[in-house]
This record gives sequence, C-alpha cells and structure tokens, in this order.
Amino acid sequence: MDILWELHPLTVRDVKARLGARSAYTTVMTTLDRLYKKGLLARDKDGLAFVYRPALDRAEYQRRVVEAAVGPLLEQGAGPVLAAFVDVAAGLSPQHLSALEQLIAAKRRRP
Amino acid sequence: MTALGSAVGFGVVFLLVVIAASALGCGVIAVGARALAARGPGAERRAAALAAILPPIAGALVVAALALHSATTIDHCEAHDHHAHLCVAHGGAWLARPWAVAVAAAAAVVMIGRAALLAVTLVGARARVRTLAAAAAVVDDVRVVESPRRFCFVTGVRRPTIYASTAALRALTDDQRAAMLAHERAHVAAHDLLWRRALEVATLIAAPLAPGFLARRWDDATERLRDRDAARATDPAAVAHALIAMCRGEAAWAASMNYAPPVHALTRRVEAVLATPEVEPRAGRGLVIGASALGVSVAAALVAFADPIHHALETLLG
Repeated sequence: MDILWELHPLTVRDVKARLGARSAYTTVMTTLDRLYKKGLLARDKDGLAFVYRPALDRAEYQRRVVEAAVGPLLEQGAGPVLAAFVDVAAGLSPQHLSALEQLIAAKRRRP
Repeated sequence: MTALGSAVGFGVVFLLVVIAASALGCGVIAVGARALAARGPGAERRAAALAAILPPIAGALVVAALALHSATTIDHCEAHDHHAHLCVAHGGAWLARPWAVAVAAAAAVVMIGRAALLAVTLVGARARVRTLAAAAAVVDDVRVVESPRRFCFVTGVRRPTIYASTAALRALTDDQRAAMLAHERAHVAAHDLLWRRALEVATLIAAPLAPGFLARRWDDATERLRDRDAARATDPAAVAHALIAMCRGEAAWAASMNYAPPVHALTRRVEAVLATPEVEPRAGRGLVIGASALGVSVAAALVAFADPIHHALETLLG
C-alpha cells in the first residue's frame, strides 16, 4: 500500500521492482489481487497486465483501520479488557441528557 | 485410578461449595443492593469482589480440611463401605458413579470454556489495541487517536495506558477534559484492570449467571468510584458535564444501532458524582472484616467438625 500511495498506477512487475528481491512475482501478484478483492486497491486492464492504484487515500485507510479496531473494543463492553469513561450502553436520548444537564444546574444553584 | 477417583470426589465437593457460595453471595448482594448503595460505591465494589473471591477460597478450605482429615486420621473406610469415600487412599469408587464423573467433567468443560472465551477476548483486544497504538499520537500520558467517535478508556494490565479520541477531546471544554482524564488516571493508579482480571479468573467456576452479575456490579461501582476520584481532583459538575457530553456522541451511535440503552446507568453516575463526599467513607472495610471473620469461623468449624462433616458429605454424595 505504501508503494502504491507514493506512486500509481503500477503493474505487478513495477511493485516487485520497488520491493527488491524480497518477494517472488507470484507472491506480489497474489497480494495485490487480495488487496483489490478487499476493496483497498482499484485496477484497470493495460494490455495483458493489470495496473493497480489505491482505492482509498492513506488518511481514509487509517481511519477505517482505527474504526475497525475501536468498534469491537467499545461494543464488547468494558469487562476485563478496558475501562471506558462512558460505556456505549449508556447512550441516552437527547431529552434525557438535557434533563441531566438541568439536574447539574439545579445542584449548582443550591450547593 | 485411586488418585483420579479421589480427584473426582474432592472435585465434586469443591464444585458444590463454590456454586452454593457464589449463588448465596449473589443473592445477598441482590437482596442487600439498597443497603450497599447507601454505603457508597466502595462498599458495592468490595461486596462484588468478596462474592467472587470467597467461594473458591471456601471450596479449597473444605477440600483441604477433608483431605487432611482422611490423611491424618485412622482409616475409617472399613467402617462404612456402603458408599464412596472422600479419601486420598480409597477414592477409586467415585469412578464407578457416572453422575459424579459427569458432574466433574461438566465443571471442567465449563471452566475451560469460560477460560477460553476470556483468552479469545483478551487476544482479540490486544491486537486491536496494538492497531490503535500504532495510529495514536502520544501527548503526555495519553495516546490520542484520530476518530469521529467519542471515546476515552484505559487498557492494559501491566502497563495501563489511556486512549482518547480526537472527537472526545474536541467535544469537551478544558475542565471537562481534565475531569475525564482524572477519571482514567484514577483507574490507572488503582490498578482496576488488574483487579477486574482477577475477578474474571475467580469466577471461572462460579454458579451460572454469577460471573456476569458480579462483573456488572463491580464495573458499575468502580466507574462511580473513579467519578468521585475525578470529582475530588477537579470539580463534580465538570465530571457530570463530561459524562453527558461524551454520551451525546454515543447516543447517535446507539440510535443508529436501534439500541435501547438502560436509562438509569448514566443518571445514577451523574447523581452519584454530584453527591460526592469530601472524603470517601471507609464503610466497605466492615464488609472485608466481616467476611474475614466468617472465613476464619468456617475454617475453624471445618477443623473442629471435620469427622462428622466428612461422613455427612460421603453419605450425601455416595
């Protein structure tokens, strides 16, 4: 993804050249194909080869990764994993939250 | 085979004691909920912790007393061979009782299942926290994560770390932000996640529904306790406003999930934090002293009446 964010579109051969001798051609091809199927890359046919480009920019990708990590952490409940300031289970209607604000104001008026 | 049989016999006794004691503990907490609430979140938290930790201790005490009795007294097995013996030397007969083997096996399966579920939860959470850590910017002792969702939590047992989202930090005023972080720092200082993990382990073999019941009680009381710590370090109204501001963001999420939240949870926290006393009462210590006295009494009774208890249990189970 880093290589394609820096420069795109690229073919499998181009990506392999930038990775150096670390990976086999088929490994790079399979990886790019999987990233395409996951919706992280887009591709177009150029002659006999595919050329790949990122489907998301780096910031959007980062946001999705964070959301995918945060969602289950908050929703599986605090439990033995984390102590959240506010449990998502505490979400209330705006009317109820306003009533609580009034409770605080009333408490302030008569300390 | 004798050792395995003895393990089955003593295992059944351990299980019965733990299940009965944890069910009794939950019952006492449920019935005495109002009285505990009047004594403050410290007392509620200690009650939940004791109801989780005492049953396995009681079970181990009973098994230790019975095993010690069978190992140190004259072999009584010849005198009543009509039932299986809770005995380290003649336990093989338990294996001939399918119900005892089935109960011991079922208990082992439940305990392993609960432990596996806990392990899967922890491993999954650790991977997600690593992802967050990689994306976070470190500001003092807080890891700030760019996210449109409002959250702030502490995670990690050995190195508790505070994570807060940019949405949460932007949604709060300076004093509310200080109150929220004071709440999380209080969790870190009190090693709450370590105690929470201990509670989870202690209830691996508790009565059905007891682990969830005790964990919820402990969590609720701990949050109110940390709200109070934050209120003392900052301002009660700032803590209450911060709670509401954070909920305004999550309310939209709850609505999108068609989720009907328990209305009383936040109300109770806001009311509790507004009623924060200057100094936390030490009322909960009475519970610990009472429970310790009860534990010593049970241990003494077990030693004094080991013989009749031994025979009564053998007759009951065998």
